[in-house]
Amino acid sequence: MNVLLQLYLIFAKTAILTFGGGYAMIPLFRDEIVVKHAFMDGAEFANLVALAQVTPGPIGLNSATYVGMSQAGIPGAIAATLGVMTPAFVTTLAAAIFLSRVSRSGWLKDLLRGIRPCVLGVIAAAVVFFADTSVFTSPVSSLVQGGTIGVSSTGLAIFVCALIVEWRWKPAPLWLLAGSALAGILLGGW
Amino acid sequence: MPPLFCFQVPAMNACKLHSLAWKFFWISAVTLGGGMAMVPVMQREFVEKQGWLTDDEMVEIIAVTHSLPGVIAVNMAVVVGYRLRGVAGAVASAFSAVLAPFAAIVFVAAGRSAMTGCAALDNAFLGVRAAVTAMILVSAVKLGKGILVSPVAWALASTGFVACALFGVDVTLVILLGALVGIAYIACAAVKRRRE
Repeated sequence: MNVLLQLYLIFAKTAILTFGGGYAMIPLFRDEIVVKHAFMDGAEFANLVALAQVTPGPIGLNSATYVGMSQAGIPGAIAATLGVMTPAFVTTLAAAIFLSRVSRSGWLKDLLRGIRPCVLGVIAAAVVFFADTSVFTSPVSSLVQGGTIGVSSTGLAIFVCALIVEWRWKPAPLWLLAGSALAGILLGGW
Repeated sequence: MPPLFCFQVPAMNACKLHSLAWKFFWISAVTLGGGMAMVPVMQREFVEKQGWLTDDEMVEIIAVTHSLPGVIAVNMAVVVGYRLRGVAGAVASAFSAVLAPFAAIVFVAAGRSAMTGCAALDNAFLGVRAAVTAMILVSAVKLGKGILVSPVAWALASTGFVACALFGVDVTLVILLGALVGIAYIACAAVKRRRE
């Protein structure tokens, strides 16, 4: 299949399953980009999520543009970005035009009562995947197969500090990420 | 129950199309992270400064854009654009809103490949990944306070977590499981209404 069309379809499909935005879209995009299509590895995806926090625009849009760019240059970036926009565009516009009688306590709310806990579960799973690329040296899921797991002392130290700082003060992402990058260089060497 | 404000017939003359597009361009350009980060800036600009929307409308726009599939930033641009200038407003707003993020990532992607194999950069990114792990964990815990309000919610969330984290189950399947439970909730509500 034409690579541009493929990029468009992959990101349109992924975006249609994203409810709630923000961190909710990370597991879905990771599944598609890292696991199914292997456009990049887990560590590079985690880097991209960090970059998305300090550049304009949400992670879904940013990761689509990035993957498109790396696969097929600017035309690829355009195709993937349009793909991510399409579901948001079509459903929201359709809702705006046709669902003028959607009430505040409608079926949508009940539907989301089922979906939201599942989204929370997969966000929690994403925490594990991100820890796999920083805190641990081998995937946590290998424990299920009876494997052992190693810990990166640099990664663990930065994780614990970042956790405390984020929980207590919730600084702007730019500062937290800049501080962690600096800590990574100081602890890990250059 | 009255229809939602933001889905009412668009107020076509609320603002000029090009000023709407310009506003979305710069709002998305200055809000790092996108999505909810846009809300306070939109509120200040559209409600307080321009008076194009009311506070109530903003609250509804946030609720609606979070209940529909898709990227929140684009959802918000479409709803606000449609409300203020109809379909043309929705198109103009959505494309203006993605322009700056698009350009930023194109530059990042171009620069990234030029800097591979640099130890300092690799270690910087190790630190950054550890921090992102912490950020997502904190946000998951905070989200959990509002979502984990019933045994069913706990069961769904833990199933989703174990299935994805340990057994590599497709994320899509987990979301679809949630949708099925949601449909069951809808059915229960319908049965209850009929009984009353």
